[in-house]
Amino acid sequence: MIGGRDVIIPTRRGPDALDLAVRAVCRLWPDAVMEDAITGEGFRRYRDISFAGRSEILAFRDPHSAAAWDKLGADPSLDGTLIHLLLSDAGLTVAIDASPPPEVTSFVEGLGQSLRQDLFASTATRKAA
Amino acid sequence: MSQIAVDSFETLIRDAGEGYLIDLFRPRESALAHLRRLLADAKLTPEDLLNEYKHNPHKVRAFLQVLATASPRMLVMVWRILHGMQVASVEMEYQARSKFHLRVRLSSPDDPAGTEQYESTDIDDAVVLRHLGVMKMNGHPFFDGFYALNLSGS
Repeated sequence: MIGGRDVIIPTRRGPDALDLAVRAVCRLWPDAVMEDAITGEGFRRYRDISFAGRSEILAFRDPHSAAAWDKLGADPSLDGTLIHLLLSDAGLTVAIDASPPPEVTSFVEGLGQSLRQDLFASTATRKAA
Repeated sequence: MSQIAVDSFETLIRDAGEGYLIDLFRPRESALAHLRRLLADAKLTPEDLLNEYKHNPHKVRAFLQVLATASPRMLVMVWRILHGMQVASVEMEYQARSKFHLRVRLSSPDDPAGTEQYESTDIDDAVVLRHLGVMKMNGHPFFDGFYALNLSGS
């Protein structure tokens, strides 16, 4: 990811936002390999991820891409194979390549639109048991 | 169940911001027993929630928000979504005063052939639809994930 760009999606939903982003990545790349950018802990499936206290996740397109990133680092041949998700109090930052493939662009647009929807923005009324 | 476990369950509910499930129930002292029965009907225990809460409190909060409303079968469905199953299809039929039918099919991301189907004719179960994540990618529609509503005051 050389000369990448950060797309900041404002949201205060914290882990919900990161959770939805990971699920969306798994739809985009069904063979994705994920890694906690801070601890280095790796995950092959959404259900393996403990979101408590987690704020940064790297999503590689597939195991081959993950291995290539380990070996080559930010090499131009790996453009479009990594999405970096970073959660903060202000929102969710999605770091992608400067010129990402169309499907990654669509992913970011779709995620932003989803996080702006009522589910993540509105206030509902409580109901008793 | 031990008193310690009961207290832990109440602590979890309050920590999750869903204490109204207890406080608004009448008689209030029966609230936890009632909630445990609802869980048991869905083949779950407070310990299942406590364990999940350590790793994914946001998921437990979402689950608690439908615990008092959704049917046991739909609670199982919600639990399965929270644990990674994907929403493959949703069919709903509704006619005022006469008919409600909800059918949800889940698929496993690891095994597309591994599907599960959940059905309901109780309109109370429509509540689960409000919690589904809604996405569009490459113009294609997706329901994915199950999330808490931002309840007032929580």
